[in-house]
Amino acid sequence: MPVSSRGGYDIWLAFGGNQRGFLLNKDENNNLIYRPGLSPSIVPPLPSGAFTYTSIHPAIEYPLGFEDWTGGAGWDDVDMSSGERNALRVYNYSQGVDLSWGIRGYISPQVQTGGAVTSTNPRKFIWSEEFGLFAINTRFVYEWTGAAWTERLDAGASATLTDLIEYTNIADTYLLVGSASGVYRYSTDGITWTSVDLSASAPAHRASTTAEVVSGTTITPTEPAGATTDDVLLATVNCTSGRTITPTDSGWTSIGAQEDTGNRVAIFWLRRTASAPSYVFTVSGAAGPIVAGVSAYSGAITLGVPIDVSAFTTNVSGTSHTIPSVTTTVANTRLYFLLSVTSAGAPTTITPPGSATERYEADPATNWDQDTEASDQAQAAVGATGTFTATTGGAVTTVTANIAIRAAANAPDRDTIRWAVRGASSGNSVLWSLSSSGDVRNSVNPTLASSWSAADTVQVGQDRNTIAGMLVIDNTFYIFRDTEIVSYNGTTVSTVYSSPTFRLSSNSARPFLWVDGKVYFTYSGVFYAFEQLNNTITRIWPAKAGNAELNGTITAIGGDETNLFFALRNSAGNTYIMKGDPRKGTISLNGIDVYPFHTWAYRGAVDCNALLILPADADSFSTTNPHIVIASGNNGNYIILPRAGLRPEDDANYLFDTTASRPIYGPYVSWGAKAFHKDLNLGAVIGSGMTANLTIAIQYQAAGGTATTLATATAAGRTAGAPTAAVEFTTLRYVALMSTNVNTSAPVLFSLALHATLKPPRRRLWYVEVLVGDNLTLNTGGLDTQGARDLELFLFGADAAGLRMATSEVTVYDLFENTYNAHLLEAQGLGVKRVGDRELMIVGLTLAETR
Amino acid sequence: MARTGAQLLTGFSQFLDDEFASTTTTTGLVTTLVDTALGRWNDRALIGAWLRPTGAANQYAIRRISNFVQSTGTATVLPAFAAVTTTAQAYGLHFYDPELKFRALDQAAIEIVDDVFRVIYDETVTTDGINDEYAIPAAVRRGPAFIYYEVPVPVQPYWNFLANPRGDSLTSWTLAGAGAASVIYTPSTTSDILIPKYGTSCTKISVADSTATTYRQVVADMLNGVTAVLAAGRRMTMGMWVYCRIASRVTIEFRDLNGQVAASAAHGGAGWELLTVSGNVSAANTTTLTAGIAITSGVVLELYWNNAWFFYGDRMPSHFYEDRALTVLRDDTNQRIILPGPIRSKLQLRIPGQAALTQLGTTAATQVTNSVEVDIYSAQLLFARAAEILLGFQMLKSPQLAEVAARIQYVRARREELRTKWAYRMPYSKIRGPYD
Repeated sequence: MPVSSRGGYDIWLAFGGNQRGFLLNKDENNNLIYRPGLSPSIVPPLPSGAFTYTSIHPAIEYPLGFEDWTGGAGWDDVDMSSGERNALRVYNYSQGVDLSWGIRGYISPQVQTGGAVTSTNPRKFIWSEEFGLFAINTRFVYEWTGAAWTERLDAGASATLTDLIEYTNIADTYLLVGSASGVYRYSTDGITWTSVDLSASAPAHRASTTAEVVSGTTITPTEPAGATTDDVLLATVNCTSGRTITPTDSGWTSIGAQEDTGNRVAIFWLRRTASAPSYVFTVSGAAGPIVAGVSAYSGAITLGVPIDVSAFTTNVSGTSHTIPSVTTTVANTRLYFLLSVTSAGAPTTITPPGSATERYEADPATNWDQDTEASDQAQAAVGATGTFTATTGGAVTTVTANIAIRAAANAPDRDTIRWAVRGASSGNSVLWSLSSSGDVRNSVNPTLASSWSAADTVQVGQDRNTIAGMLVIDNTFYIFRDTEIVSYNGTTVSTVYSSPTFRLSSNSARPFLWVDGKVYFTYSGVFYAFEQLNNTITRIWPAKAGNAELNGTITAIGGDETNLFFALRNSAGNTYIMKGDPRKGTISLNGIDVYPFHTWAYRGAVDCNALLILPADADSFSTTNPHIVIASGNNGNYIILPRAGLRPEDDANYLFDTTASRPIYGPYVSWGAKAFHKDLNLGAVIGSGMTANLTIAIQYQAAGGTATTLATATAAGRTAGAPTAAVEFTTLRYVALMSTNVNTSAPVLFSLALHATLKPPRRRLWYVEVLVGDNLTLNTGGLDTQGARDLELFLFGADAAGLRMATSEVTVYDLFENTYNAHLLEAQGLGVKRVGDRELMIVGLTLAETR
Repeated sequence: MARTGAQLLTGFSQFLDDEFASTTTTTGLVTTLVDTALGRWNDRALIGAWLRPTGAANQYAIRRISNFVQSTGTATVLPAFAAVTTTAQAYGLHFYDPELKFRALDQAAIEIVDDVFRVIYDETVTTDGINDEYAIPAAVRRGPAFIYYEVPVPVQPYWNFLANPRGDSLTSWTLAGAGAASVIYTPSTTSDILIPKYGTSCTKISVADSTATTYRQVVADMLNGVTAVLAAGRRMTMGMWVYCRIASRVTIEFRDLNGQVAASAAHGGAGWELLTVSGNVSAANTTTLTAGIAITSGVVLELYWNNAWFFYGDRMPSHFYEDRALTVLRDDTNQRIILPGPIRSKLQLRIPGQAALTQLGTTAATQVTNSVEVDIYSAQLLFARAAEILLGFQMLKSPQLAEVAARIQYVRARREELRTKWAYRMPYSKIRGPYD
């Protein structure tokens, strides 16, 4: 008994719940016409252009050449499937290899030691013909003095220096350093520094008045001299006990009232408007003695209740009287002390607390019970004030009060987080200061605190909002702060660009106005360009979001007339100095505009929070070459740039990094066919200047794998090597390692190449010839009972549900009892054989496996 | 030893490598049969094969498998069975239609008659002394090449225990049967050229309608010292010439204490026939030894008997003289033998010939129990020819002539091989001299 799973048939075909067994035709040699095979290899799309062919057959070894890096860094992988030629012009990143020269790769320039800038990272460098090269960190100002950084200013351990600028007026040229407090410093020689204190202050006493009524029910003190809009007025009315004190003007608000033996004190506040209020206060009951006093304070908050906190108390008869403590909630309040004598007796002399300044004492000459004295003092700190003690000339009982008045806008120090110079006034250029709360002030004589204007009416920022910088373009300020860029023309603040995701880090780079008139700035680790002419934002780098290495925060931006540089501190804490020139236009890669930037220098775990390009100058690091000074942790170091028109190998002053095996990591590439495997055949490197010590090695690294060396070039020209074992991959990248043991010469990389052979997926393909007839002889014996008509309909027709084999997925149970899914590609009758009165049709079927 | 139809179907299937028999493992449906043993085939492998239950429900019904699920061993059939398939039900699986197998076997039984056949000894023709031409009995399909005529066996030798064995006396014989009668028949003239066969008279027994009748002699009446005890454990044979024209009613038998020991084949109704029967008497026999005629009930019947023997042994002696001068005439309606001249009357002619093997028939219930005169060796010839015929059926239907022809060629070769080994051989008549 046969046990073949085919049963009596050679093959079975099934679709849509229908299945039929088929017997195969035989050829002249009596062989079954069953011809399985593999589908033809597909032809993947590949880059065109430099190649003379547009598609690659899998039989061909296909070299990918990497010899043009003008697309820049930042590409973990690239998609070549669309024939994007620029995919080969980008790379992932390098660490110590400079690919910014387009078609030549050099070892990065060597970082030269400048010196320590104790003891925190330099935050900014400036250079001027007048003063030379200076650096600031959070506490110190240093000057490069030819051999070392020399400390020029120590602002103290608690200082936080913020910005350094050179300013010139008709009198002199100054270096100014701002701080997070209200104190800034200036110097006219860079050596001697003078502090100017613009610290915030408590509300100021403007003037006070008093009034006395021997016997009456109303009292009307006069307005304190000079009282003006937004002044806070405090009115104290003192009468005999048991009465009600009512202001005529409803604008007065009671702060509180306190009554003791035979005496009543009530205190009111009012924010003066442009016109004076009514100062008439009415006392209920029969006519009696009344004393009143009014004090006016400027610099209090102009909106909301100006009284931060208040307290009243009474004191037993004595000469020493306690003024209660209050707990202030804001800084820079003005404590207003009140003492009112309540015991009957002759008028007595009242002495305020020793720290306070008496503002008035209403001390009638007659023997009245009422006697009131007011004093005040500034309270900078927030919190409990503690009690105070006032004294009287005789033993009396008293009511005392302590009232804290809020300073305007919570009155931060008039700190300076950024300087700017804009416009001119009376022949002087104008120095502008931007505070952390967004206030803008100006001065033309920074030597005087009094020269500073009040804050402009509008603010360019919000209180305590992070501000990266303020730049002036065409006499307009542009302030780069969290979530937005605003412009300020001196009158109007406009939001130029706003995005809730524009976020600054504490070490975000300051915006930089480059020679192209655009401001380059950073938010959230992205490098942008702002064009003031049309208020447009352009994302410069990275072109493609997402890079495992080049991410993090841009901590410094600078540039010269040819290139922009920025420092990128990645999420692992390693810093790259990036170099590029956005003016050179973009390339397009996979539909993305790319402004190429290169990983020009690698600093590892050394932060770079400031950089500045300097010309060759006696006051800078080099008298022959332009160079770039970079913050290197707590040091100010520098890198020599080649002189104009020279390449690194052409400039004898140029120095190369001698750290061994500086890598270039290419993008993962798929040979245009990421979906299937390839075999790596060869790696090659072409360059010049290679020797036994000046080497370039090429490695391959498959996704998720480790880098393996293919060849190491020790001589100029082409050096190639094959993997020692089969390397099958889907995506793969090159890693090139460049080394030199002397800083005066280095190998030059011209090209890297990886050769691979594509292995497109192949699936089964069958050509079979099946018999369609009645009573076909089964392999197991017996006769087929399906019948010719049934088989013909199965092959060519539709079933009851309308399904057709031609348009359905077909299950193939093949001659070897394996099962596959397939599509019917072709069904062609090959002839009908007549045997006696019977017909036997032969049908050729071409089936292609699908899954 | 003949083989039954069931045995031949199995053997033939094995010859074709198309034999699988099993029993169901669970109850199925009228449309399904379930046997996990079928799991040796995977899905689709059994589609187009045939199921034939051999026991219990749906016995011998043949159904085609339209679907099969290997995981459960469930075969779906078309059309449905008459009854639900039961568990532990025997069945056979065939890729060749079993019905065609039976048909091929029957056809082969006919076609291999040259090699495998039945040898026929027909002794139903009695000479009348005046004819030299007789009809060939229907049982003889091939032949005869020569005939024998009878040399009568002595009826009263010392070894015959029967008393009055000529039938010319009713003494010692007992007739039992309502309405039956026995008389001594003595023709008044010599014009009766057939009865009695020997001597001048014989016994005539007339049996009434629907009456079973016996005509026996008990041991007490027998001669030559035989007793029931002496016969115990012995093989004995009885022979009796009986004339009857009604077939299948008359047999001869002998009995012991347990009843009938053996009975002869029924009389064929062709005239004089020598009925013989052999059997073993019970070893415990002590009292009974009876021999005689048994007539089943039926229509009115008359018979004559003339000369009978009952003796120790297992073969009835017979003597026939060969006469090879013979002409055979045979067509569709006439089958005649012509002798050189008349032979004296009342002698039996022994006409040897051949006949094809017995047919199994087309009745499902009986084709399995019917037997064919082949043993396990000669059956191979039958199978080989049946295979040829089965494939010949396909040849007649299938357009794949070459495919089928190759198979036929194979089985034909096998048949030729088997034929040289297992074909029956008929001895040729010896060559005689002109003076024999």
